[in-house]
Amino acid sequence: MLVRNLCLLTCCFCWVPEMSAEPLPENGLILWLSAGDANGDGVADNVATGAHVAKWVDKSGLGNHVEQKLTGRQPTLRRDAIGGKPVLRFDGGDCWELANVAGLNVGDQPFYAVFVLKAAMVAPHNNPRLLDLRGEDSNNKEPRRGFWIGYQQNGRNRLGIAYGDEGEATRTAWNDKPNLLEVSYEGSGRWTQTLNGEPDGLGTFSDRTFLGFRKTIRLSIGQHYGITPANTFYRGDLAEVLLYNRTLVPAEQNMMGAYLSRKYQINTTYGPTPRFEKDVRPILARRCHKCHGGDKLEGKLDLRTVSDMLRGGESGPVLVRGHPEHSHFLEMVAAGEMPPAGEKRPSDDEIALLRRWVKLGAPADERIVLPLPTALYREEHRSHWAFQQPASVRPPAVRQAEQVRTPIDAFVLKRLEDKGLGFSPQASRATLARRAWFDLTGLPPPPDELDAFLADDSLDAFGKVVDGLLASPAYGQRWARHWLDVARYADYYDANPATRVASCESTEAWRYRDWVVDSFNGDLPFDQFIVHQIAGDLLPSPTGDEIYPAGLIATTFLSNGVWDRGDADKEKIVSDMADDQIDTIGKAFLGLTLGCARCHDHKFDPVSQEDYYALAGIFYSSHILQSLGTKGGEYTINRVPLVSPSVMPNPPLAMAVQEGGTPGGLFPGIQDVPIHIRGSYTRLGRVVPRRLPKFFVGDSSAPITSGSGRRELAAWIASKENPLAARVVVNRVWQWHFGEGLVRTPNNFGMRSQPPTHPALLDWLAVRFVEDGWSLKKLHRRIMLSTTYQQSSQVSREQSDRDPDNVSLGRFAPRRLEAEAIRDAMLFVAGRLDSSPGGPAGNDLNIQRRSLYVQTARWNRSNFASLFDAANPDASTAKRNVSTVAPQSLFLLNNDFALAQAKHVAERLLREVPNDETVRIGRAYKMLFGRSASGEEIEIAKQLLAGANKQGEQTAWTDLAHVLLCSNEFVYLD
Amino acid sequence: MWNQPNLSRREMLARTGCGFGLLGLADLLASDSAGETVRESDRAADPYAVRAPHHAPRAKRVIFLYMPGGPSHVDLFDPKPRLLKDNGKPLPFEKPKLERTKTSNLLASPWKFAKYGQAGTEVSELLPQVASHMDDICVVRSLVADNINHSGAALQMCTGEQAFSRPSMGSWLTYGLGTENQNLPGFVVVSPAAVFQGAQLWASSFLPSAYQGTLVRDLNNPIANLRDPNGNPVRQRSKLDALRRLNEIHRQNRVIDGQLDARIASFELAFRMQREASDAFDITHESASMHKLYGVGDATTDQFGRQCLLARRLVERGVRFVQLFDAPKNNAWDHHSGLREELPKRCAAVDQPIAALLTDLKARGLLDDTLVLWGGEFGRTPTAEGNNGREHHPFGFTMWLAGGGTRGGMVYGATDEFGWHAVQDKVHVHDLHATILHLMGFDHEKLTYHHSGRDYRLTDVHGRVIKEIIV
Repeated sequence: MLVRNLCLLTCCFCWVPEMSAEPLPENGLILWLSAGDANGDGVADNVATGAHVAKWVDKSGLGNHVEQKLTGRQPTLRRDAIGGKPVLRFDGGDCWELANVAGLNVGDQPFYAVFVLKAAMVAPHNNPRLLDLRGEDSNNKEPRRGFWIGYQQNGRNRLGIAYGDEGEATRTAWNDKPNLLEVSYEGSGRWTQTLNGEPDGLGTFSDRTFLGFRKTIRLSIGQHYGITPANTFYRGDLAEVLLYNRTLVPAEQNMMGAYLSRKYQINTTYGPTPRFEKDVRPILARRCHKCHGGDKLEGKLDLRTVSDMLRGGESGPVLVRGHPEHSHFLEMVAAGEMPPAGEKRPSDDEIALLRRWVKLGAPADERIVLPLPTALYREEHRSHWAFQQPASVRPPAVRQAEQVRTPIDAFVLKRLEDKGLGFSPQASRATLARRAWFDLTGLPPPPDELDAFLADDSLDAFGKVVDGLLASPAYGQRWARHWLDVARYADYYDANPATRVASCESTEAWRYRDWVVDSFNGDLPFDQFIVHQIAGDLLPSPTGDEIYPAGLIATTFLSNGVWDRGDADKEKIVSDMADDQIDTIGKAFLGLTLGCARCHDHKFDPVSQEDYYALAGIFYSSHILQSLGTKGGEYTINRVPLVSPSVMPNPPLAMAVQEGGTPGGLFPGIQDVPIHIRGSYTRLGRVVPRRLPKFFVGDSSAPITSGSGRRELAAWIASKENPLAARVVVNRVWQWHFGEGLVRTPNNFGMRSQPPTHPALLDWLAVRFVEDGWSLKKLHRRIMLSTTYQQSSQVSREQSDRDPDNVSLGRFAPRRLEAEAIRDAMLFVAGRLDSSPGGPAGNDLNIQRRSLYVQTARWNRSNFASLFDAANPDASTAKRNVSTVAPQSLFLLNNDFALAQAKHVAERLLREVPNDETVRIGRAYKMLFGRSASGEEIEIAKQLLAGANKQGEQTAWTDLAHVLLCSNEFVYLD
Repeated sequence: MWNQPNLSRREMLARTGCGFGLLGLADLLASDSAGETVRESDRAADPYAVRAPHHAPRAKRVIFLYMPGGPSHVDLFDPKPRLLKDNGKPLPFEKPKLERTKTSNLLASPWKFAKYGQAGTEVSELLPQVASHMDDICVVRSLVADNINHSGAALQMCTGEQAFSRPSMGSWLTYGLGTENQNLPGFVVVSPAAVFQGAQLWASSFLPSAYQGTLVRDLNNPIANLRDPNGNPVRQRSKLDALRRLNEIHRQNRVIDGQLDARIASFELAFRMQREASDAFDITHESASMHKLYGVGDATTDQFGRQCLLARRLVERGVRFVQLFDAPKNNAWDHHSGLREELPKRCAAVDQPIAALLTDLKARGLLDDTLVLWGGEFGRTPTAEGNNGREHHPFGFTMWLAGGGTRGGMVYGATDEFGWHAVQDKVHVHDLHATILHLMGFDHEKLTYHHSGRDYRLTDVHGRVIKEIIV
C-alpha cells in the first residue's frame, strides 16, 4: 500500500538540475575569508578598486583575522574580478599574517583548505606560496610541524610539509584563470587535491612525514610566515579562502563546491546534492521495486531503503557509499542487465543521478541499520583442544619408572605401556653423537670430538655435548633454516625475471636470514621473536637510538612474500599482499589457516570473513612497497635505512614494513577496510573496524584505533592469553627433532588438524616453555636428554608392525638428511666447508659456504636444493617432502660438485692417513659415518680399490670416496 | 586396467626379491592403484609409478604448445569482418573496468582469412601449414581468463590460480598418473629463454617436488647431470656394484626398507637414464627427411622445429606432459607494437613445426591418444595500441586442441562481432582444465591433494567439462 502511494506521488517527478542554494558546511570551519566582505560584517563592502586592505576579517567566528600593517605589503581590492565578484590582488610583494591560528587540533590531524583564486604562473625560479602553516619553534629545532601550499614548478599546486615531503597535483591550477582549488590533508600522511571538482592528485607522505601540529600554529597568506625567502610571494587574486580542521565527506564537499561555483560562476563538476528520499527513491520505485521491494524480493534484495541496499541480497551488498564502480545495483542498471529485458529502463539522466548520488556517499535522511553477524561459533569450537589454554598437567605415573629421565619420558612411556609397548633400547653412543650433531648443527661429528665424547664416561657426557653444540654458531645456521621454511624465505622477493637481479646483494632479504640465525644463537625469547617479525619497526631501540635495526630487519618476514606481480592490476596487489601476510602469520604463529576466510567465513574454524578483514585492515594500513608504481609499470619494494642517512650517506637498508597503507593504493594511510565480497577488491561490502579475531579475544574487545594495529596483533599472538602460539612452536621444535610433530599438521591446529598424539605432553611442553621465558635452547635440552630422544631406530619388524607410523614414539624414526645437510656434510668431510656466517647469498652451488648461504630464488627451482626437497619458498612450508628420484642419483653420480668432494675426501685420506688401505678405509668410515668399518665392508672397499688402482691411487680412492658419499648411510640418519 | 586389485609396494618388493634391479618398472607397477587410494608413503617412495585414472582415458599424454605473451586471436583464428568495416572507429560499447592501458580505436586485421578443411574453418594467411590440418583441430574461440597481466594470466593458464603458488597442470597429471617411462622425467618443459613467471608455471607447489616440470633450456644439454664426466661406463658400473653391496649391508635391520630400496633402485635408474634419456633428447638420431619436415636447419623454423621434434620423441617414449614455450626471448608473442612485422615472424617460426608435429603424430598413430594444445595466457585487443599493436585481452580469445579424443574440424564458441567478449559457449580456463583432466581419465573434482587443512584441486571450486568438443 505504502509503495503504491509513493508511486502515485512520484510518477510525474522528473529530476531537474536546479540551482537551489547549497549552504556552506560550517562544522569545523575555522577560517573563512571572503574578498567581498573583507571587514566581515556580513554585507558587501563598498571599497574602491585599488584600495589597500590592512585586515581581512575571519567570518568563521573563531577570530582568525589576518593582518598586514605595512602598506607596501597590503593587497589591494579589485571589483568585478571573478564572476563579477571582488578579489584581493597580491602584486608579488604582499602577504598577511596571523601569529596563532585558533581551531586546528594538536597532533597529526587533518585540515581542508579551499581557495577561489586566479593565480599567476610566474618565473620558474619563483616558488610562490598561497598559505603557510608553521609550527616549529623559534630555533627551528623540530621542523615538519607545519605545511605550505603553493607551487614549485610547472604551475601544479603542491602541498608540502615544512622541511618535509611534498605532494604535487596532476594539473595546473596556477594558470591565470579563475579556479576552485581544494587541498586536503587527512592525517597519517594522506593528502588529496581537487581542482574545479575533479580529483587532482593524491598520495601519502611516507618519508619525511608530518610530526603533528603544536599548540601554536602561525599562519601566513601569500608568503612563508616571516617572509623568507623574498621570491616566494604570491602573485594573483584571491576571492575566498576557507580552512577546516577536518576533512569533508563527499556530500559536504559537493555542498561547499556548489556554493562557491555558483557564487563565483566557476565551471566545476559540483552541483545540487541528490538525496535518497527526494531524488533517488522515486527512480528505484518506478524501475526496481516491482521485483525488489514490498511483496516480491527477488534474490532476497530489497531496494526500498539505503540500509536494505547496504545489507544487500543473496549475492551480497549492492551499494558501496562513495564508490559507484563497486555498487552492484548501479553496475547492473548501467550495463542494461537490470531491469530485465522487456522492462522500461531508467533514462541516462536517471542513471547519471544514481551514479552521482552514490559517489557523493549516498546521502539519506534515514538512520542506517545494519544486521548483526550471525553466530559463527559453535560448541565444538569452544571445546576444541587447541583453543583451550594449555593445561598445567603433572607427568603420569608409569610402571617402568627407571626409564624416565625427564618428564617427557613419563608422558611417552605412559602411552606405550597403555598399548603394551615400551621404549626401544638406548641408541649406541656413536649413533647418538651423529644424531645430535646433525640435529643441532646440520653437520657430522668431527672424528676428534666424537672420540672425546666416546671416551667421556661421566654421567652428563651427552648433556655436555648438547650444551656445546647449542653454543656453537652452527646451531643458529642449522635452526634458522627450519624457521626460514616456515617464513617462506627467498633471497629474492620477485618471481618475475624482468625485475630479478643478477646478484643477491640487490635485495636485503639476507639481513633477515642473518637476524634469524642470530636470534637462534642468542636464544632470543620466542615471544620476542614473534613480536619482532610482526611489529619490529614499531619497537623502541633497546639502546635508546633513533633507529632499531634488528626491529626493522625482522619485519622482512612480512615483506619477503608472494603475491600477484600484476603490472596493471595495482589494486589486486594490495589485497594479495595482505593475504600473503595474514596467511603466513596465521600458519606460522597460530597454526590457523586464516587465509581461508578471505572469500567467506572459514568453513571449519571460528574465523569469520569479518575477522579476516578486521585483520586485513591492519595490513592494508601498513606498507611494504614504496609505491604501487604506475599502471603497467613496476612497483618498488620498501628499503628502509638502518642508519640515519644524515650520519652515513649510503646507509645499509632493510626490506622493512612501515606504517600507513601502500602509497598510491586504494587504501592509503591508516584505515579500516571493507569486506571484499567473495575476496574480490572489485566488490566491497561494509567497512569493519581493525581488531583481533573475535572468537579468541571476545566480542566486546575494543577495535584498534591508533596505528596500523600490528603492535596489538603481535602482542596478543605472543601473549599467554593466546592458547596457540606456544603450542605451535613447541610442536615445530619437536618435529624438527623427531621428523614428525606431536601434532602432525604443524601449520594447522584448527578443527581439521590431526589431534596431538600426546596432548598432555604438548601442553606440558608449552607451559614449561613459557615458564622458561620462551627459551628454545632450554627446550632442545629438555627434549634431547630424554630417553625418548635417545632410543635406537633399529627395531625388529614385529615392533615396527605394531606401530608402523611410530605414533607412540617407541623408537627413534630414522630419516633422510635435508638438502642443506647433505651438501654441507659433503663439503665438511671433504675438509672444504667455509662456515663463515652472514652476508648476501652466493648464487653458485660450487661455493664452499654452508647451503644456508646459497641463494633461494623463487623463479629457479631447477637447482640442488629443490632436487633434494628443500622448501618451496612460494608459501609457508611446515614439513618438507622426502622424495627419492633418479635425478638425485644422477646429481650425486655425475655433478661436478659431487665429484669434486669425492676427490677432496680422497686427497684428505691420502694426505692425513698412513699408507695402509685398511686404516684409510677405517678413517673414511669414521669421517663419513662416525663409526668403524666391518670386515665385509672393508673387503668390498678393497675390491673396488683393486679394480681401479691401475688408473692411479688418487683415482681409486676418489672412486671409493664417491661410492661412500652416494651411500644410503651417508644421507640417512639413525 | 584401471580396476585391478591393489598391489602394495611391499608385496611387490617381496615378489621381485632383490629390489627393482633391472626390471622394467613400468610393467611392474602398471597394476598399482589409482588416485586417492595410493598410500602417500608409497607414492613418495616411488612417485613415478604408473597409476590408473578414474575412468578410461581418451588421451594418455599432452603436448602444450605455449605461445608466451598472448597470441592475437583476431589476427589468427577469429576473423572479424566488422573490424574491417569499422577500422579506426571507436569500440561502440564501454570497455571493461579491467584495462591495462588505454587502447584507441578498432584495428582491422592486416591479414586475410580463408576457409580450410572439410569443415571450412577460417584461419589467417599467417598460418598456412597449420591451416591444412584444420580437420584434425578443434578451435575454441571463446576462452575467458581473469587476469590482465602476463604473470597472473600465465599462472592461471598453467596452474589455475592467478596469484598464489599452486601445482601446475603437468604436475597434477604426473601426480595422478605417474609416468610410463621410468628412465625419463614425466613432465618436461622446453623453453629456450626464461619465461615471465619462471618456475611457478611448471611448479609442483605443495605436491612433492618429484612432480615439478623438468626444465630444458639448452637443447644440446637437456637434462642436468646426465653425462658421466669420466665417460667410463665400466668403471661407473663397478662403483655402482660396490654401492649396491654396501647399501644392502646397511639395509639389514632397518625398518625404513621401502625408502632405502627405492634409493638403491634410483641409482640403477640413473645409470640407465644416462643412455636412454640422452637418446630420447638427441634429435640427431632422426632422419634428414624428418629434420626437413620439422624445419630443423632452416633459420626461421629451426628452434621451434627442434622443440616440436623433441616433443614427439618424448611422448613416443612415454613422457606424460610436454610443454613447449615458443621463447626465443621472453614474451615473444606480446605484440604491443610492431604487430605487422613481428606477428608474421612468430607465425613463420612455429607454423611448419606445428604442422609437422601433427603430421608426424598422426602418421605414427600417436595423435589418437596424444592431446595437442595450442595457445597463450590470453588474446589481444581488437582495438589498437599505438597504431601497430594490440594490448592484453583475457575477455575472449582463442586456443585450439587436436587429437586425444577431441573433435577435429570444429569451431566451438564465439566472441562478439568485434572479437571483444566471448559471448557464445564461454570456456573459462577452469573449464579447459576440467576438460583436459577428463580427456586424461580424471574427474577434475576428485583429483585432489590434501594440504593445509583442505583438499586442493586444479580447478579450485570451478570447472565444467566441455563435452561438446569430445568425440
